[in-house]
Amino acid sequence: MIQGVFQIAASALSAEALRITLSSENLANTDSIASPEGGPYKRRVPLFTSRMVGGESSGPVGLGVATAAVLTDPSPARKEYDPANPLADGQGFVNKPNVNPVTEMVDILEASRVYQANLAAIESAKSAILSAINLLS
Amino acid sequence: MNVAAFIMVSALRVRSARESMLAENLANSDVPGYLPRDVDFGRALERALTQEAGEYLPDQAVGEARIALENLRADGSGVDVANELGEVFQNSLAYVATMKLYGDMMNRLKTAFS
Repeated sequence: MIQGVFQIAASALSAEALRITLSSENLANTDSIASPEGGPYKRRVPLFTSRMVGGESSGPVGLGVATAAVLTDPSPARKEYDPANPLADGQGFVNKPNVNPVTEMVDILEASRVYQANLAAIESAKSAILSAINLLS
Repeated sequence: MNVAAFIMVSALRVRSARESMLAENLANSDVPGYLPRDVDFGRALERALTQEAGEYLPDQAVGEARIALENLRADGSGVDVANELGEVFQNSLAYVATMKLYGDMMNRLKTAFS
């Protein structure tokens, strides 16, 4: 039913918002060579899965999206030669985060496009429902 | 209910079911392995019109996967966001138009009875 669009699209809005948040975190930490877990910062990416959404009264309304996990990118750290750095190893290399700023920028752009598309779907369902409400005049 | 009204209400229910199915496709565009589904409007409407009342509810129209598993994108999902959004707009416009027709018909009936 068309009213389900609101909840379905809303689940996608929060998923895409999380994706943008994580990419911004990655972007912000492009040069963080120390992290609370030890070693350089590691890139984090969300993993999404389909899940039924719906309110307690309405029951399930449709297949929305949910975050299954936030994964840590296992790719190896970038090695950069910087012997003056106190964190440099024996050979003078420093482990930098496995973050590529360009990838993150593209990810943010793509996520915001999907965000906008879901917002547009909400608008479109809203005007359809309004056309029904407007019969009551 | 008169025949025209019955057809329009059935069409509205199919449109309504299709709108939420298209929203599901949009919402799941980043889910690995998700196959976009769609309601065949013509077939669903025909089913709603030919079956006995109560036997088949158009808003339970079941979607069929629109693409085959092997046509998934490299990142694992088969949803084309732009294409999906176009379908959403087309479908909701058709919903609004049907609703307008329905309202106009009801107004004419009201005039006839007054």
